Formats: sequence, C-alpha cells, structure tokens
Amino acid sequence: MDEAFVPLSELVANLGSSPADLVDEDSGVHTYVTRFEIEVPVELDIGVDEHNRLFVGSIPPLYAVDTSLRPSYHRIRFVAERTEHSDGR
Amino acid sequence: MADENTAWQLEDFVDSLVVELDKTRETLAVKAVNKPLSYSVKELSLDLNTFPSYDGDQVRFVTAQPGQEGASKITIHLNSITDQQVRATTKLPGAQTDIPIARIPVDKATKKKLRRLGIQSVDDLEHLRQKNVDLGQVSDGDIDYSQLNKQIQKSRRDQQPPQVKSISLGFDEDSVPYLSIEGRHLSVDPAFPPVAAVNRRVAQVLSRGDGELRIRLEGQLEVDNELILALDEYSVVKVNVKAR
Repeated sequence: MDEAFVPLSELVANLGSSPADLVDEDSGVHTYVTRFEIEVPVELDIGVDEHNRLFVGSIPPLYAVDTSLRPSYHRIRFVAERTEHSDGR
Repeated sequence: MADENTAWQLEDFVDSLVVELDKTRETLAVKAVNKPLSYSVKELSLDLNTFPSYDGDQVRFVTAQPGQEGASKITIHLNSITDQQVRATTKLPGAQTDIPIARIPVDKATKKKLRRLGIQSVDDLEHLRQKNVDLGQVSDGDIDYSQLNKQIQKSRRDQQPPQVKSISLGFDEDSVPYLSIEGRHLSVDPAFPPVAAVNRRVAQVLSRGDGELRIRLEGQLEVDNELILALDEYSVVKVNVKAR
C-alpha cells in the first residue's frame, strides 16, 4: 500500500473517535451525542498484497489546492451510534 | 496512489471491506473498555469511481486514477444485521464431506452455469435433486445432470478411494480355496459388482464387503499370480500374488 494511505479500518476508527460530552456543571446539564454520521471524499489505493489478498488503502483529500490533474475522489459515509454498556455506563 | 492499479472483483472487495469494518469495531471495542461513552459503527457506505470490464466470464473493476474521467460509480452499503438474520440468510459452512463445485472435474462452462444458479457445492446439487428440481430445464438443457452426477460420484469416491492392505489364501467350509483381499472402501459403489481375474481368467467373487472381498480360486496357484480387480468404474487394481 502507498505510504500516504492507511487501512480503511484506521480511517474509520479515527474519523469515528468518540465526541466529548458537553457538561455544564453550573446548570447541571450533561449532553452527549447519541448518533453521528460522517461523509467525506476519500482517495483510495486498492491492490493485492503478497498473500493475494485485496487491500483497501484510504486517505481524505491531502491538499486543498486546485490542480489541473484532479485526484479521483470516492466517497465514504458511515454512521456511528452510542453503545450502551451492560454495566450501566 | 500505488504504481500498480490492479483490477479486482466485487466479491474480494466486499470481503476486504467487511474485514476492515470488523477491525474498526474491534478497535472501538477496546477503546470502550476505559471510556464511559463509546460508539460503534452501524452502517457504512462507499461510492467508488471505477471502470468495469467483462471478459466473458467475470466482471472486474479498476479504480479510477487521478485525471481519469468517465468512471462509473458503484455504491456499496454495509449495514449491521443481527445474528438471527445471519442464520436465516446464510448457508452454514460446508460439511467436511462436501465438495466445492470448483473441485468437480466438469468443464468450465458447466461450472459457470452452476455458479450462476447459486450452486456452490455438491451438497447444494444434492439438495436440488431431493427437491426434484430439473437442472436441465432451468439451464435450457445446457446441464446434463446424468453426466454431472457421474462426476459427483467420482469426486465423492476420490475422497475415499479403495485401498488394498493384504491378500491371503483361505478355505471355506467345503474346502474350496479363495483369495481374501482385505482393505478399506472395497465396496464403494453398491451398484457396481466387483470383477476379478486371476491369471487372466475371470474369477467368481464369493462375497463383498467394505473391508474384505473373497474371490474363488479355480485350480492351483502358480508361483507368481496376477490378480486384477475392478472395484468400481474408476479403479482397477493389479496385484502380483506370490504363492509360498
């Protein structure tokens, strides 16, 4: 995989990091996000590794520069939901 | 981008995507151990710009490269389903005795037609036969089931080929001499009576079983004797029996 790219799982895990809770101690309000949806253009590097397995490398657009040769932007969208823990957390 | 823009099949791509999504879930699950709030990915969709090609057998895709225009768009949606839904919509992995269609010695065109009918293994074919589905009819007569059935029998038989372990001389109650052939899977096809020849003369098969065959001996054995056995339509065993 090209070194500029990361496995798709890393991209999604990083983009889907838990948003911090919004806490207002004075008014006693604790707000948290229950569901979020992210949609971004991505560049993809799809190839076959030495074990004959298909790999999917991905990276959001690297440069905000308008060039004559435009990268081919694919699009990824995912939905993440807050998970309830069995121990009540 | 990588230097080589490899063509890929949709099945392989979706497999990789599912693996990547599982890895994401595992990462988020680890994070969840120490965090009061955690999130899990429920849905994922991907729009891909690709150039599809069809070689008459398979559809392959090449990912669009920078500067390339006119690409087709494929959208892949992955949704979470429950384990109950998985059980209801997925066939259990093949049993040990099941044989994938790819391993049956039939021509490529028949394999392709079977795949298109959703038949992946011999067990799938067996299931259709039990349901009285006429494959000849649904494939416009392109699939010859009797021929296919022979190949299936052969593939099944190849998993348990006949093995001869030892040969000895014996006498029955009437003192009639016989050769006892011991081994495994000696009676693989109930519809095929074994045929034996001792020193190029057909000999009577007295009894047959999976572990032993008894062949009647006419006359005296010579010092070197040639025994030829046809145990089913795919196997002929030739053994040299020395009399001591």
